Amino acid sequence: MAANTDPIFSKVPKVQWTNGVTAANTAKDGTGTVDTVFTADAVNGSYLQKLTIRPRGTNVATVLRVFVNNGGDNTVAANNALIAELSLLATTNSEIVSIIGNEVPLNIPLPPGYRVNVTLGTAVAGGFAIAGFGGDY
Amino acid sequence: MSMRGFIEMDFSFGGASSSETIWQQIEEGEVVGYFKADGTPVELPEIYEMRVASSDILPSIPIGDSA
Repeated sequence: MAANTDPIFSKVPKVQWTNGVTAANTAKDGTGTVDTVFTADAVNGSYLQKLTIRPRGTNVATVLRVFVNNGGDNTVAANNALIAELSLLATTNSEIVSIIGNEVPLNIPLPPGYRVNVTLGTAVAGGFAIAGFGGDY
Repeated sequence: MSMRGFIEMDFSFGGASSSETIWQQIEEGEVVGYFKADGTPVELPEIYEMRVASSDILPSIPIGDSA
């Protein structure tokens, strides 16, 4: 059971990430090869406030898709839900100019064991570092 | 800096365990097409998976590369 229930707040901060997201997977149902950014606490669940997306060099334009997975096999479409998309503009690597990043505000509670997975619509070379900020209940 | 040229990709679809090489054409940072090594355009299915085989952006598709 969650430690706090009325109202419910996260108890322990949680930051998880995946680096080097480069591959394309055009499935809109969350199946196929995905990158897991955030996994909810196995006992109490978690809260996910946002994802940050930072380009890691030169990338063509693409789209980020964000899925909630219920903890089951993501190859089963019924275990996934597409919850957000974000257009990511082409970027050019630089050692003197910062590359613009993005954030996806989510503010969602996640039941125990649920995951947040991401995919790209077009494969990119440099890739993206994607981090999820939230907390465990 | 304009981003244009060709990037080598590993491409698969339909749950295939093996992949094939195709070339992604880029103009101004946008993908404008995919081609086999012999220059034949590739029409992608709606659902597929693809990853960058080499991040080098080449001015043209190398002659003699297999696809």
